[in-house]
Formats: sequence, C-alpha cells, structure tokens
Amino acid sequence: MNYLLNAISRNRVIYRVANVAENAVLLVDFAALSDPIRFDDSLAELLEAWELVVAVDPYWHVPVADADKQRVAVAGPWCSESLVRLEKATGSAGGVLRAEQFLARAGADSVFNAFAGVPQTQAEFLAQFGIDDKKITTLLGHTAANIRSRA
Amino acid sequence: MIASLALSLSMFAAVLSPAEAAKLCADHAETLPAAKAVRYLQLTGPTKRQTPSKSSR
Repeated sequence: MNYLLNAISRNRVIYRVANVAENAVLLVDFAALSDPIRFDDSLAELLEAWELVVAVDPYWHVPVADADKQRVAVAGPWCSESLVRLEKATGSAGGVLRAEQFLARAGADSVFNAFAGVPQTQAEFLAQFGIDDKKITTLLGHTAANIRSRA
Repeated sequence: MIASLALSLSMFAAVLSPAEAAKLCADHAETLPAAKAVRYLQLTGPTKRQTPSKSSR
C-alpha cells in the first residue's frame, strides 16, 4: 500500500499510511500526497481519481443509471446512514474502500495514470517539459531533407 | 483439520462488515478538523500476524 501511494504521490516526502482501529482500517491523507507548488489542483486531481474507483465499488455502493451522469453510484441501504455522515465529513460519496480493491484499481492502466497525473497524449507529456511536439516534427523534416540532399 | 478450520475462522472473525467499517470511518472522520482530503481503506485480511499452530501444519 505504501509503495503504491508513493508511486502516485506528487510530493517528494515519503508517505506512510496511518492505522485506524488496530490495523482494521487505514487512513490516507491525500493532502500529503499532493504537489505543494500546485496544491489545490493536485489535490483535486487525486480526489477525482479516487472517485473513479468509488464508481465501481460493490461493497458500500449500488450502481445507478443517472440520466445526467452526475452520480454513478449511491450508498447501499446496509450502510447509508454512516456513509452520509462520512460524505458530510470528507466530501466524497465513497470515503471508504476495500484496500485490495484500491490496490487492484489504482495500480492499473488508466486509473493509475489519473492518480499519478500522467498526461493522456504524447504532446501533453512533452508540453510538461516545455517541448513543442509540432516544432520537433518540423525539425525532423528539415534533418531528413538535409540527409537526402547530401546523397 | 478442526484446528485448521478454527485458525481460518479466527483469522477472519476480526474483519469488519461494510456497515461496521463505514460507521467506524464516519466516527473517525467527524473527529478530524480537516477531513476533506482524507480517505479510508479497509483491510480485510487477518488483523495480526498469526503463526499456524503445530497441529495445523
């Protein structure tokens, strides 16, 4: 768990989860995983990625077909009262998840990329470093032309 | 055989049900001054490291 959380962390400080209730529940503070330079945006991205896992959670939620797609899951009737209280405190409809489900979902493919802040396209990735993808293509064209002219 | 079954049951007896875990998390979150960035993960394996007894090996 600590390995995955530090893999998706945008903060240089090593993070360790806290135990709640004698190892039965772990507490993850996403504020500690956020980028301190762009804290608000970074925290919002991490919490948005969390909701991707909540949307398919079968333990505390039941899926709903919402026409507006504002909500894809609601609290299950077996725990709705506690989840409403938890939502008021944390602001998330799914403040608690199973640890193994989080590991499986957050450690894979697109959900991992959402947590880790990996750009979706190569152009976005290069733009992070101030590199213009189109300019590189143009320069490569010039290089190829020069090689051909020498031959 | 019976000892093995008893060990298995004892390992999972301490696992919280979803309702119990949600209540525990809600109670804990309400005590935090800034819980907006906090999320909880429930562990569902044995809560303590347990060594199998000789009869169950």
